[in-house]
Amino acid sequence: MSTVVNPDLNAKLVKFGNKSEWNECYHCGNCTAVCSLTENENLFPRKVIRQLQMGLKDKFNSNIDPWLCYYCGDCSETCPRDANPGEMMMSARRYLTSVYDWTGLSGLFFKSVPALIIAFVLVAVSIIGVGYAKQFNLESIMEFGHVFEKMLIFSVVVLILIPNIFHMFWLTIIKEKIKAPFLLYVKGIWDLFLHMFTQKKSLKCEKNTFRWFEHLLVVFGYILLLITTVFLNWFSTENTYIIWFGYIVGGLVFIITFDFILERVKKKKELSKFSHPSDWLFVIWLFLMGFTAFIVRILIDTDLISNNLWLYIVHLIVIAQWGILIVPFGKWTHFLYRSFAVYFANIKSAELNS
Amino acid sequence: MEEKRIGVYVCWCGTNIAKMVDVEAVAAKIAKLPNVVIAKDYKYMCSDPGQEMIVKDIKEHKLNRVVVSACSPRIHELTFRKALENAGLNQYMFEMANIREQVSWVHDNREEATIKALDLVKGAVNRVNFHEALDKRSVDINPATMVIGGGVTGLSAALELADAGNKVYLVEKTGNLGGHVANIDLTFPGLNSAAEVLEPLIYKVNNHPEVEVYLNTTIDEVFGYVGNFESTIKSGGKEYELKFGNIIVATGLTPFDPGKISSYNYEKLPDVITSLELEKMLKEGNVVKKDGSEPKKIAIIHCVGSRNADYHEYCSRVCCLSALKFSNQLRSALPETNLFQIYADMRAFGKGCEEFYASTSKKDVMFLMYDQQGDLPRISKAEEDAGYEMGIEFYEKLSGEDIIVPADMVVLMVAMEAHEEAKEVAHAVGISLCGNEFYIERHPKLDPVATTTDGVYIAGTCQGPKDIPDSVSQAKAAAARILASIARGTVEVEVTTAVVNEDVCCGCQTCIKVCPYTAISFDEEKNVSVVNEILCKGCGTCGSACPTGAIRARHFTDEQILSQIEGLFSKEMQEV
Repeated sequence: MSTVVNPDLNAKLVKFGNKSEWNECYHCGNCTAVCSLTENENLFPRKVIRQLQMGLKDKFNSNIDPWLCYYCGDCSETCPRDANPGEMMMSARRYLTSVYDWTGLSGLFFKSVPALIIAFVLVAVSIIGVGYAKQFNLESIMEFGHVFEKMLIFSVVVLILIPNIFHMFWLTIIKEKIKAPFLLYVKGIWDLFLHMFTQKKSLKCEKNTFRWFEHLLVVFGYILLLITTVFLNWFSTENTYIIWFGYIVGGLVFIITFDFILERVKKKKELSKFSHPSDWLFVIWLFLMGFTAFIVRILIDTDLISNNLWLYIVHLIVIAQWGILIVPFGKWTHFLYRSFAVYFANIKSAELNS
Repeated sequence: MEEKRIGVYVCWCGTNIAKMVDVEAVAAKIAKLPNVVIAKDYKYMCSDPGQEMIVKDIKEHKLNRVVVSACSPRIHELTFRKALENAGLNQYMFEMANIREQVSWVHDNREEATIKALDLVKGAVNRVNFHEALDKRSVDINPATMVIGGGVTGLSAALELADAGNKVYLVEKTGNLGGHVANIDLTFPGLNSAAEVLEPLIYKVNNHPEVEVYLNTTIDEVFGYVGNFESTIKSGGKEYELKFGNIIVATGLTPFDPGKISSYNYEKLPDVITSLELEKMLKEGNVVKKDGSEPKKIAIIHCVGSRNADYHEYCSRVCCLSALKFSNQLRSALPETNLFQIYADMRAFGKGCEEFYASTSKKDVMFLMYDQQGDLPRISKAEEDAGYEMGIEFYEKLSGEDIIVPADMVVLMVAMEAHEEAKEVAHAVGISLCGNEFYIERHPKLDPVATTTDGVYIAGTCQGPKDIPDSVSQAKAAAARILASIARGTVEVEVTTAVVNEDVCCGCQTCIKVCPYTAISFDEEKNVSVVNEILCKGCGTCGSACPTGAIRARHFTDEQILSQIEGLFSKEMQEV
């Protein structure tokens, strides 16, 4: 069955990236040859570019390969046509995030900066509104904040993330007619979590060792900060260990994300050359989360918090924007899609090889 | 009779010959042959010291005949002839034995190779015994030139010659000057107007005092030889007798008929058009479908009739760039239209062309590769509700997918063929065609605009597919060759021709029938054949056909050839 080519897909993907010279690729295959991660079953980036150029939309939407790339930048550096395959893969990940998202909000936020600003302002205004309703009483606001965080995590996971993962599963496995035995799915679980928390695969890109370590620290810092604030009640605990632990993980998050921001400003590495608004938001908000949490706890320890309530409200606004916008619809989702992609790809290749 | 004193020189050619032939043994043995005064071997005979050695020996040992046993005479015969002349010897007192291409490069048994080399040298020595001194001949050059074809090539050549003050007769078959370039809108890669290239040329030619233009005229027959051609042409009901010294053939091309490829459905589907038809639409500034509406999707198929064993195996060289040019023009004319390039291999050689390819690929054009070795794309009518008029189905090579390209208009980049009347013109001026109907040049690399007929030059697409700059380069190269011969005033011609012994000739005219160069005529009065020594190439066909032995080819006489054969097969020196 022949597929009808669709010249609009390329134009569509351009909206998800900062660069648009993918059509200049003339398929020498250099990018795939230098890539440390591509394998026989998953040939990228050339094959992905071809699907994009030809507008093979169904195949492109069902392709896991963009998630298996960790953007070392070798392909873009050695491309004879300067077609920027690395950034194409990055843009493909943004595009696929919007494909998986059933609400359609991901696509809107990736493509439209005005929509993003309106959403961020709306969230900020709502939080200030809550503060107003609570008559700017510190204790009741903090109590609200704590409950809000828990509710937010629960609803984002149940309403957005789980359905979207299923959508990804449907596109990449069911629609591609991969019929793997259930046992394969069970066997792969360990790998799924291993990759989710460590991004082990990215170590194969030789240049990435230091970056991998930084990323690992941020992932653990972020998760531990989440646990400390939400479940160990960092802001109201009297336990010295928890207080110190919170300081360490909070500091870890904002120090390393500060380095990430610096790299994006310097644009020295291929990886940080092109920053989409979603990339900026992700690193800056992660930094702000760690930083504001750190300062809020210092103010609590120095008994200055009641005079500086605004700072807690800022922290709450950052958390809310992060939790309502960035986690379900923004770059945060790569945490899940990358690891599930490795999981699905392993199942797929095991099934195809059997 | 003068005593025959022969010098024999055996070349090592570095190790090229010496590794397979015992050159020292060959030289030593040959020295024993009668009349051989001296036999030497040397590392590189063609080098300056090698040639000087021959010159020195000729003077010292009073040699009057020389044999060099080395490479092919195609490579160095003239080199050694020159050396003989430098030593004051007639250049025809020389013979060459090829023991490289015919021996060392093709054999692997050193002993047998050496015996074969020895045999060849024996033959050469035997032959050179019978060589005669021959004199040079030269003829005057008529400075007028006939240019056949009034396209961009013919116009450029005519102007180059006329500007130097020489008469030019420009003969054009159609009623207009300009050829195919006149039908082109823009040129690649600069996207400049083709009219800007052509109009000044036509204007200058039409107003040049030295150029006579004959439109609606064809050439039936040309008589004569280099320097002195003549032809009678009919133009506008009048007959003109023209005399000229040289000819430039610039008959150009014919576009391939895409109707021959059934899967393209040309002339069956209304909006499948050729590149020439699109060119016309662009020139008129009106790219529309047959029903008058604007095409929303345009596909351009490359290599239509080119690079395919069923049609033409050669590459037509301009279609890739023309197709890119179309993409640029269509992108400007119809900004919203989807453009598809369905190509086999993108060939963007030439100055500024790769850059043009790169810049075009930024202009939202989809490039799709089809497999030349497999099935060609199939164009068929799309279903009513498809949203496009035609579907082009093929296997896309870079993705490995079977795909359908939607299109409202399909442009076929048709191949270049030699002009349909190339054969007639070739016959009239006495030049040859290669297998694919293009004219064959004297040497593909070292003499690309000359032909094997002296005084007849070829330029432009009649020699092979090419673009405007290459055609103009060839036109000017051919003109430069002619200007050089006009400046010299005379031309030297080969003297190794046939001569008729009128006492023996019986007037049977067999020789006239077999001569491939129409160099022999018949003298009714004397009842004998007469050889035109200028036209004769010395091929010897007449000599072998002559029943009475009246015709003799100079430098290829019976006794020369028979003695060479005798030497080759003599039983002497069968061991090394």
